[in-house]
Parts: sequence; C-alpha cells; structure tokens
Amino acid sequence: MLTVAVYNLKGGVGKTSAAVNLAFLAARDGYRTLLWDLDPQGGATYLLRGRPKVKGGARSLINRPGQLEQRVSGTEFDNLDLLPADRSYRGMDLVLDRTSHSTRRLLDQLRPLESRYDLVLLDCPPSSSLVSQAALRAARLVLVPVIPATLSWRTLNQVTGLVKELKAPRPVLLPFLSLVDRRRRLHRELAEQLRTGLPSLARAAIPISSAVEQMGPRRSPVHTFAAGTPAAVAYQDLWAEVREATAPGPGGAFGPTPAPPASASGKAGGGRRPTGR
Amino acid sequence: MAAREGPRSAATPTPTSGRSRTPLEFTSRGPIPAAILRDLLPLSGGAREAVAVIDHRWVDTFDRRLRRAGVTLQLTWGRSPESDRAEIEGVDGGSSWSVPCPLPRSRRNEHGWQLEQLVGEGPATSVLGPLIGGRALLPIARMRTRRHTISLRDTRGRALGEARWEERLGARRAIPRTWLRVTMVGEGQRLAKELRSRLTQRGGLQPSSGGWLAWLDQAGGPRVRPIEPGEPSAEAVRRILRDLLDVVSANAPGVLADLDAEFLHDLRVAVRRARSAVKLVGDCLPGAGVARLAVDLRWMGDLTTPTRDMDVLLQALSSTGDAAAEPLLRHLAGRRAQAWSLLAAQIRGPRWKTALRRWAAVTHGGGPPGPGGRTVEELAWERAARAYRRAFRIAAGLGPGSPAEHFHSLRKRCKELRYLLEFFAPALDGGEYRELLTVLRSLQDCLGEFQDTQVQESELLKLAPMAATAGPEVVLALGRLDHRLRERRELARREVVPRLQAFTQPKLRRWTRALADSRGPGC
Repeated sequence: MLTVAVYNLKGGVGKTSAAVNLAFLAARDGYRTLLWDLDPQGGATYLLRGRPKVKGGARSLINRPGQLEQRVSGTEFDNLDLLPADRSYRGMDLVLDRTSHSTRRLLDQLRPLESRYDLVLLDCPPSSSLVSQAALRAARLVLVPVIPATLSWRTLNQVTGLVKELKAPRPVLLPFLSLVDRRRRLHRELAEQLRTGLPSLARAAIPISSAVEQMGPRRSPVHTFAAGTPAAVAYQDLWAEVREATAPGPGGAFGPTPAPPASASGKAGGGRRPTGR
Repeated sequence: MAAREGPRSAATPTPTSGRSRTPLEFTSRGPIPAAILRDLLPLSGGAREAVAVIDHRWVDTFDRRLRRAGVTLQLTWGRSPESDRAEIEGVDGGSSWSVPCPLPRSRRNEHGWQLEQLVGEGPATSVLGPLIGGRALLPIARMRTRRHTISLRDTRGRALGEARWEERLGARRAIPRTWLRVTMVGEGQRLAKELRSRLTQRGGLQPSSGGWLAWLDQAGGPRVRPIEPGEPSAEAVRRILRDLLDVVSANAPGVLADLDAEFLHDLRVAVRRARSAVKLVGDCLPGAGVARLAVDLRWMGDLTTPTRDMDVLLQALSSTGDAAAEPLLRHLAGRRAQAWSLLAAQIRGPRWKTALRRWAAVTHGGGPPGPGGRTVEELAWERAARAYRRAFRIAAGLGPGSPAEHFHSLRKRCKELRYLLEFFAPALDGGEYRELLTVLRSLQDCLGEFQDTQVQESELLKLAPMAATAGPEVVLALGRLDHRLRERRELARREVVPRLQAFTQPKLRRWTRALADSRGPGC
C-alpha cells in the first residue's frame, strides 16, 4: 500500500481537486484506492457525494485501533472508497496531542488497511499542525500544489522545512504547478524560474480551468464530464508521474510481483516429473 | 413476476462499509421493467441511466485455480475501450475489484491468454499472479448482455449506491433473463434491508448470488460424478477412464497452441494415470479393447516425454539466473521447439485421433462386467493392498547407497499406489488412508527429486559438445549446473531413509493387510 499526502500550508491552491482527480484516475486504472478527507471543510467528501460525518468523530478514529476500516464508505466509482471528513476534525490536533507518539498515529491507524488498498490519498488541511505532521509521517510521497506566485513558492520552502524536521524515513516531495494561468506574465515567469530552480518539480502543470471549477456543481471528478480538457489531461500526466515517482520495483506497492515462470514446475507427488518411463 | 431459486442460497447482505460491502443480487425470468425499478429504487438527484451492450467472458486456468481460491475473473468488453474491464470478485474476503483490460480486440478470440494480457502489469497481477502460478487463462463461459447502470442518490444528491441490471441477449432458457445487482454505499447501506424486501415483495424479484457464472455453471450440469463405494467396479473404472480422456481432450488444444508448459504436463499426467488404471484395474472391463488401449497409452505417453524433459530442464536452467548459461538456454529452447513440433504433428495426426476413439470406445463399451462383478469397495481394498505390498517389497530393501534403478522402480510403484488411492478415495477414506497418502507424497517428493536430477544430468551430458564450442564460460556454467544437480541428488539420497521408514511402518502394513483380508470374491 502506498500512502500519498496532498499538502500545502496555503489554502486554495488545488489540493482537494488534485486529491479527488488523482484518486479517481488511480481507481480507474485498477488501484484499490482510499481517499481520506482530513480537511474539516470536507471538500473531497462533497465532491465524491459522501456524507461529512464519521461516527465517533476524530477521537474514535485516532484512539481506537481498527476504526478506520469501519468508517470507510464506498463511492459511486469502482475501486474508490472514501473516509469522509467530519466537523470534529477541527479538534483532531487536540486529540492527537493527548496521545503518545502523536505524529505516528495516522501511520499506525492506516496499517490494518494495507491488504485492502493499493493507494491511500490523504487530503490534508491547509495548516501546520500535528495533523499535518502525522499525515506527512504516514506518507511515502507528498504532493505539493504550488501556484506560480511568490507566497505559494514561500510556503513550498516551509513544507520542505517541515519534512526535513521529520524522523527518517522521510517522504519524497513532489511539488507540482497548480492553477497556472498562461495568460499572466508573472505566472509564466515564476513557472519558468521554478522549473529551472527546482529539479524535483513535476513536469505536469494543472492549468486554471473552468472544467475544474465545474467539479463543484457536478460533484464529480473532472474526467467524468470533461475528459479531453487540458486540465483533465494534466491530471492524467500528474498521475503518471506519481506512478513513476513511486518506482515500480519488484514487490513494491505499485510494482508487479514477478509472476512465477510459466514453465514446468517440479512439484512432486501428483506426477509432476518429466520422467517415470 | 415468475422466478426460480438461485443456484446458490441467497447470501444475507452484510452492511459493512467500503470494499467489503456485499451487494444485493436478484434474478428474474423475464425483463425487469424500468418503471418498476424507478419506482422501487431511490433515484433522486437526477442520476442518468447508462446503457451498453457488454460481451462477458469468464476465465480461469484449466485446472480452475481461481475457482478453488474462491475468485472469479470476468472480462467485460463493450464498444469503447474505456468499457473494457476485468472484474475480479472474491479477493480479500469477497470484495469486487475492477481494472482496465488492455487486451486488444484482435486477440479476443484466441484460445487463452496470460494474466498480464488481461489485467495489465498493475496491482491485480500482484494479487492474482500467485493464485494462477503462471498458467494461461482460458475462457470458461461467455455471454452477451445489455447492461443498465444508474447511480442511486438521496434527495441532497449524496451517493447511496449503484444499481446495475443486465438483460441476457440470446437464447439460453435454463438461465434467468435478467440479473440485478444493487450495491449500497455509505448511508445507503442503512436502506439495504428495506430495499431488499421492497424488490422481492413488490418487484417480484428472486434473491440470488454468484452472478451469471453460477447460473451458467448450473446450466452446464455437474461434470464429475464421484465414485460410490457400492457401485459396480466396471462402471467406476469406465468413468475414471472417461474423466481422464476428458482431461486429455481438453488439454490437447493448449498443447498445440503452446500457451504454457502446464497443458502438456496435465495431458501427460492424465495419460499416465490412465495407463495405471488400465494396468491395475483394467481386468474389470470386458473386451480386447483394453489391451489395445494399453498399447495406445504407452505410445501417447512416450510422445510427450522429449518435450516435457526439455521443459523441466529449461526451468532448472533458467531458475539459476546464470547469465553465462544463455547460449545453453537458447540451444535447449531450439531443441524443445523441435520436440514440440514433432509432438504437435502427432497430436494433429490420424494415429492420435484413432487412439482417442479407441479410448472412448472402451469407456462407453457395454458387454458383461468382469468376472465376479465386484463393487468398487471390494476392488479398491484388494488392489490397494496389492499395490502397497509391491511397493513395500522394494522399499524394505532400499538404503541411501542403493542403485538408482531401484529408486526408479520404487517411484513407479509408488505412483501406481497413489493413483489407486486417489481413484478410489471414497472407498478407502479414513485415518490410515490419509496418513498413507501423506507419507506417500513425502516419499514421492524425494524419489522425484532423485530421478529428476538423474535425467537432467544425462541431458546435460548431451549438451557438453555444444558447450565446448560455445566457449569456456559456457562450459563453466554447465559445470556449475551439474554441480548443483549432484548436490540436490545427494540431499535426496540422505532424506530418503526417514521417508522410507515412514512408508514401511507397521501401522500402515497392518492397515493394508486388513484391507486384503476383508476383500470380496475374486474379480
């Protein structure tokens, strides 16, 4: 199971849209996917037509082992499940603060789901809190949407700092450009600077697009109603890069386990030998 | 609406969340009018109905490895590439899983496929690969339906689930006309119970489970009738031979298509089992056809040997991962291809067809039963005891230093005994029977390893001249392989002693003696 967090300290940079669209694309490609909407605003829950309610709230999820599995809810899409947001997530920091090993707690809670999902996406709240730290600790890859604007760039540096403060093994950061408006000179220039100054920046850039805005009223991932649009294609490219970044090594979360050779195996007993003449 | 009972008892839906949710399934002998469904299902929120014609193929390995693991793999092909999916059910406690099916349209009519061709290189391959073990997947059932899909939502537009109903296209009267599956998610699970009663009581639908495949299975009828201890032995022996003939016939196309080495293996084992059946209990069948069948079976078995030997040697060589052995692998693959073309030519030829015809004639032959007209039980007791005695006599005189031929003789006797025990399991089953089978398997493992290494070594010797011309690295690789084979053989020699002791233990001797003592009148 691979855990990917979509995170930025700054709000309104396209975290939720990215999380929902990537979750949909992964599920469509056959990955058993869980999207955990950690943001109390519940944007991802709304877009996937879920009910923003978790029985027992944040306290139960964090404190009681095996609770995540019980609270997972299906969606309209094959292979895609949702762990919805709940208003009580506003106090998740406090709940975590009262637990031991607070930053490891999400990782521990996700462990029982390992055999059921190939991918878990965490849609993180825009804050620097214990929840964010716990999410970063649980993730192997952190996707950071970055608007080509000075403040957004600044927050990327802060996220990098946060990740560096974590204990090893630290997640890999994959920043990507989001809400890019090619008509604006500042966007073009900053995007160019980021590309040259930040080698880890994803090749895919999500453009500002009315198709993405339409996700709200339609309550559906962009590919279900505007599959050919530049934004949909950009999310597809980003998904391809996520798969690339998570390395298809043998036995890895995304890598195929090498199949046993299709030739004669020498299992004995049932006459599996070539001889016996 | 008239409906009949499903092929399996309807499972009670468990309203658990996420992937483990159990869908509600229903069937109907006639079409389900959309108006009824619209009336009965929660369809608020302006969800649109999608309709598509779908070609279904259910696939499994020849020996039904997926079925045995409780998994079904269904390919659903529609008009657009997006609708080409592989639907997997039964993995991870019964959850369903849908992945894209990348198989090109031009290859859909092939005899079989590799797993990766059907589900791609993604996570489904990681999960199903170990179950399938490298075997090819063959189509086991097919059907065409018109599929309607609609999202179920509450008045606030929140997802409650999905309803999917499929109308069978084409005439298959034993199978219901329509199958409906309602999967409730999230809050919708609370409605599942009410919905179930609404659809059965007011909609007149019949609860079902297992989908189309369960019905297709039922329409096909039971394939294998188990042996009854009290039935006449001649009839049972005919049935054993008939089942083995089915296995040979079903595997021959796979051998000809050369899809995987297991087709040849299964065919070969079926022939060998038939040879043993003819040798050990063939006297229960009347007529001279049995003698002729024995000759045919020997010919068929010998035909398969060169290709199978090459398969095993190739496997041994490639599993070493020795890069220097690459020229050897290529050379062996060439020899294997040569052996396979000879085999394929014979399987396509007239003698093979005649042999199968004669085999079928023996299995359907009438005439008086063999002398005595014994029951399966009586025959099984006597022949199992005799087969054990013959194996025991060799085993008792063996030790780690015994000549290889003696081990080989014991191996053949053990195979005969094992086949007998398996043919007549219902007449012999019990504590000692199972113990003997376990001990026998363990001994056969060891003897098999011994014999395999012996045969492979003699094949390697044939490669020596070729290796000498290919260069010193190839000679060294050959040497390394030979060394490994010797080590394996020596290990097998050391391990054989405790296994021989277990096989010749007094408890098993007493049991087989008791079987012999209670035997009925002579056959």
